[in-house]
Amino acid sequence: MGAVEVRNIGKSFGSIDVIHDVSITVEPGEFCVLIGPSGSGKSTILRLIAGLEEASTGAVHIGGREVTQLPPKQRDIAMVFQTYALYPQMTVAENMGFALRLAGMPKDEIRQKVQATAKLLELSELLDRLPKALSGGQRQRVSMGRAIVRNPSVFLFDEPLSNLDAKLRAQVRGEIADLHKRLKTTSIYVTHDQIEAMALGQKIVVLKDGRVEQVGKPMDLYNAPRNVFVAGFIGTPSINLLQGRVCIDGGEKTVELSDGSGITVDNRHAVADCQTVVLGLRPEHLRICTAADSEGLALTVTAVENTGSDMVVSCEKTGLRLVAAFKEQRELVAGQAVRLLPDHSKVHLFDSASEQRVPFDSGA
Amino acid sequence: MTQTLSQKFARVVLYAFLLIVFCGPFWGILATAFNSATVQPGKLLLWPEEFTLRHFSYAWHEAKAYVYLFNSLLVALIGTALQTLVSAMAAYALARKRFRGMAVVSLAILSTMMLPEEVIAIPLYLTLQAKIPVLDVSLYNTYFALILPVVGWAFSVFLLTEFMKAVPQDLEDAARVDGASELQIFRHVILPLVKPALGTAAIFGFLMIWDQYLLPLIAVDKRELYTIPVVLRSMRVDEIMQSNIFIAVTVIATVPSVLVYLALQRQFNSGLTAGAVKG
Repeated sequence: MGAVEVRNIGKSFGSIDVIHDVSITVEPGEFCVLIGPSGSGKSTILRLIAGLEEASTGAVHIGGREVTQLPPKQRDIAMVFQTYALYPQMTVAENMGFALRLAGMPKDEIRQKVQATAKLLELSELLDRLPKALSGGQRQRVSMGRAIVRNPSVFLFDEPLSNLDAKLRAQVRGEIADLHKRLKTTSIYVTHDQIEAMALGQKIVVLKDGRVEQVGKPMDLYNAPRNVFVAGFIGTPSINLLQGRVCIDGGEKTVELSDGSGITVDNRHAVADCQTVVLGLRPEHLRICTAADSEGLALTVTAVENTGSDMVVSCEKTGLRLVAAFKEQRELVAGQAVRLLPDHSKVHLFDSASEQRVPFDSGA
Repeated sequence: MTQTLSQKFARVVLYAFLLIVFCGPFWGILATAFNSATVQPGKLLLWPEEFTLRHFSYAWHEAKAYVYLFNSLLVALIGTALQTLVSAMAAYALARKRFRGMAVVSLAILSTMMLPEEVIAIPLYLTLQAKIPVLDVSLYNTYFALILPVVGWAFSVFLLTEFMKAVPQDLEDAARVDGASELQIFRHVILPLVKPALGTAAIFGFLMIWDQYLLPLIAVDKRELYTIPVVLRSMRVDEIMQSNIFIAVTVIATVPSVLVYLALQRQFNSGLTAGAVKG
């Protein structure tokens, strides 16, 4: 287990800067997820840590040792690729033992280590097969086996589940989490899937355009996103973001929306009267009421998605669109009038100009 | 899709026509080589009038075809091996590396394909004649003079470059993370994945070297170093030599090419079609 420290790292391709002064610290044994949309630089950062790209500025430390100028093989890391990157001409056993063979390990020792790792990943029956004779999930397990067999200080995962179907993805995700619990090896995992990030990460780093937007524990990011981007990126279905204006009346703070309706927010928010803000309402923090109720926002249902375990309802009103998610099953149809009542304690406020989270008053 | 009778018939006729066009001349050569009597020029023999191996025996023992066959085989085999290796290494650099002046290097290699052999014949002759510094010997009249000029072949380099470009970058990265050196990546990852292309390059390279006529003519003047094409030419102009013997040597000369093709046929075919469809 080794700590990974990325210090003020930058990367340029020609005149284009893709990574800007990024600093990340991953504690020994920690599972850190780098998440962001396409082009956010998450894979580039992983490749910089692996030594597959050369940093333009900054430094990378692994296990307390600066490795910025070292080639990948001297960094004591192992990497799992999105495309599995299994050598097609080698059997599963040869793929898993390739790094050990290159390191000059005796054949018997390689065989023992490969067999032990194969047992751990339930690959023992497949050792003599070529990668083309394996399913996607099996290939990904071999890819992980190839990393595990070397017993490195750090595992690097580059979107390892992207090529798997939804069911298999959930299964392999569980296997990765289970492996990390057992091996406790420092892991850095790149994904654009926030469900994966929330499920696996002990620490999540949200990236955008080569910059770190927020670093934190999964629930910190969910409960207190630092800005509009993080709020929009974390959470499924996505948070509802509505433009509004703050009205302070007798100590009660309300955000007036474009349709004239108002939503009461936590009094502790440090906002001024008439300040324009972005209001964040998570779909799961909206409660549905009947049209006859007087509370909440009056809207019309436009679409209902029922996944069995969840119900996602899209609603609309002139200039206002909201998505709500419920666990309980309801009889709702498009065109039906409803009222959505937000949980006032879970309303997020962002400054409209800076898009940064509005903090609570320091005295609050 | 089912075929009508007329379509089947047309197909058979087409195949028969192609068979005659491609195999007919070779068949005629074989029939002549095994024919006892001398065949008059311009006459096509389809079956030996009287079967004999005499011409082959004469070609082998008296005309010493084995000497020239050995020379040709030695030059073609070593030349092909070196050419394929050098081409693969050059292709690896062009396909997988980014370096300053890469476009110039590619253009320089390409430019060698633009010059006809005859244009470089005299400079090449002078180069082969020139004494190597320190060693104070020239390559002229040695096997080196027959092999070294064919080691670098642009066609082979570009063929392999295109195949190597298609090898996923992740495989190279994975090998690098696994601790492979540049040479180990080349040897254990890239080369096995372009095996079909190597087979194709080797066949084309072998045939190119085997068919060399001008190079052996200017590189050696000792008869014992002649290769088959040069000897065939000298036999052709020899008025005493029976045409059947000349044809028997021709048959002997074609055997290695056919064997090499048969040996590498599978790789050759997959090399020609690889990448044609999405995998």
